[in-house]
Amino acid sequence: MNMDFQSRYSVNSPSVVYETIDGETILMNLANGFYFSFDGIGAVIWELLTQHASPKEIAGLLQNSAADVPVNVQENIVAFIEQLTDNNLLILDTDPASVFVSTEQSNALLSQAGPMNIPPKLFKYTDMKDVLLLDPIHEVDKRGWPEPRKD
Amino acid sequence: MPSHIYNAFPGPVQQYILKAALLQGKESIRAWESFKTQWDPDGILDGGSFRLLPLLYKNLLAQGCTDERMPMLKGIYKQAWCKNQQLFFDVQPLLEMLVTANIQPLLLKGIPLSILYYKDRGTRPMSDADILVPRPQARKAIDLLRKNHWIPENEAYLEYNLRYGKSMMFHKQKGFEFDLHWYPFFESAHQLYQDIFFENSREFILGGNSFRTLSAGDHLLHILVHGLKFNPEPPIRWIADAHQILCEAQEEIDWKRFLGLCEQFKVSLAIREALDYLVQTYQSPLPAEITQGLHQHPVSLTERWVHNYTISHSEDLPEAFFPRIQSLWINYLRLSPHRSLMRHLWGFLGYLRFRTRGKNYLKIMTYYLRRSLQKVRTYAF
Repeated sequence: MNMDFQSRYSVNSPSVVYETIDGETILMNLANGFYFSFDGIGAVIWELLTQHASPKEIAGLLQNSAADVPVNVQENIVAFIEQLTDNNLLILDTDPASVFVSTEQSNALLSQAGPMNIPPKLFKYTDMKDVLLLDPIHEVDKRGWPEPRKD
Repeated sequence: MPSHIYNAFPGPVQQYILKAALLQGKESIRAWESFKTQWDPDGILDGGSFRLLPLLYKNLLAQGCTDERMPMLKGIYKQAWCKNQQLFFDVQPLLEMLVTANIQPLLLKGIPLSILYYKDRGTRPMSDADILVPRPQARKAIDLLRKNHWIPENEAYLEYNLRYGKSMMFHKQKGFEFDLHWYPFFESAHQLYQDIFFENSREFILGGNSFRTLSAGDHLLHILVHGLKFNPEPPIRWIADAHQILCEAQEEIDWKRFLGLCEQFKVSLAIREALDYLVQTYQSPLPAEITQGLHQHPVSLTERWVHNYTISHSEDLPEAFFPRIQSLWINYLRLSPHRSLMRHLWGFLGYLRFRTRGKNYLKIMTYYLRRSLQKVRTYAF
């Protein structure tokens, strides 16, 4: 994929749906039924990407908001975007009208991001038929659905 | 499960969940603490209560609750969200197919409730979709669905259902299923009422496309009539559904029409009980004159009998003769638009005639009179 630090992205809707709950973003690609999640810095980057922020703009915002941002943050962001695009969650947005405007909401988001030095991690679940059948009270571990109980 | 259970209203533990899920601040947290003392997560929670847990999670989260059981509740919410999203996605081609065939679908219950009143895709779990089509187009819709490999459930009852029923279930691949309705509920299952819900319908957006659903007032009526019935799975979700509608859309409800429909469908008693309960227990916002208006509606003995029966008995026909006749009679009364006994009796004979696949009236009357006499004789001697 032709990607640079200035590229902008859009959610691959309508087949991709998402919601952020209590700092965790959950996504479904309805075209294949796969489920994804990420939290912490990943959820913040996702939110900024949906507002058409480029990797460079996101890195700038993160660096301005906290002291523990690693020097290779821009590379981490690009690697995360690659995972998102590889899974058809995000698509390149070539519309010149798509621009990012920093708002109070995006600044508030950054303040709730948690540790910045942990690279974003995408969790992917492809066996949704089984995962959806899990009893979310009795067959899951302490983290709750969709993590199955080990015993 | 015995068929004589009064479970349309919640028991004490179910009421804790509802209060924790619907009320705000300390009242919500207090109800949650009370529920926790009664709930062993290793035990079994009834289906009606389980379906409220995603809403409970979102409400507790909004109250800032950090209880150790929150990750489990969050997982339940996420699972419901995934299932609902798939349902929202799967239903759209079906709706588009009906629209393309010039059949106007109205969505009922879960999907529009989630979008319009819960304003959340995960707080109201649902297992299927409910689609209402105009009664004169029901057969066309069924033929279209069959042609497109949808499989009807209980096809043997198709003609009976079209004449005296309200809906039929269809399923296809991937476990997706839906109910095709030609009337929203039994009490409205008469050609006199085939247009009224469409005339008053409203738009809503699903997946970027415009579809139609019941107006807020008609939705409230549907939920209450549907909810205040016996159901093997406790139907207490009607409380959350109705509360959400009242909180979000109470001002847009045409209350004059609502009261008129309650009287027309002979459900004033049921609706009155439901709304009184909502206002007293959950402080649901409702203009006082509405409950006053309902209390002024005359309630006939028949309406009272039908209500008391349907709220405590399964819709399945009992095996024993007299309970079976009673159940058939009640089922008929629910869908009869008439008010005089003679017209009810005449209509009931036609109803029995249809159920017995066209036997003539004399044979039907003779059969039931003979069976009744036999039974009376058995009991008497």
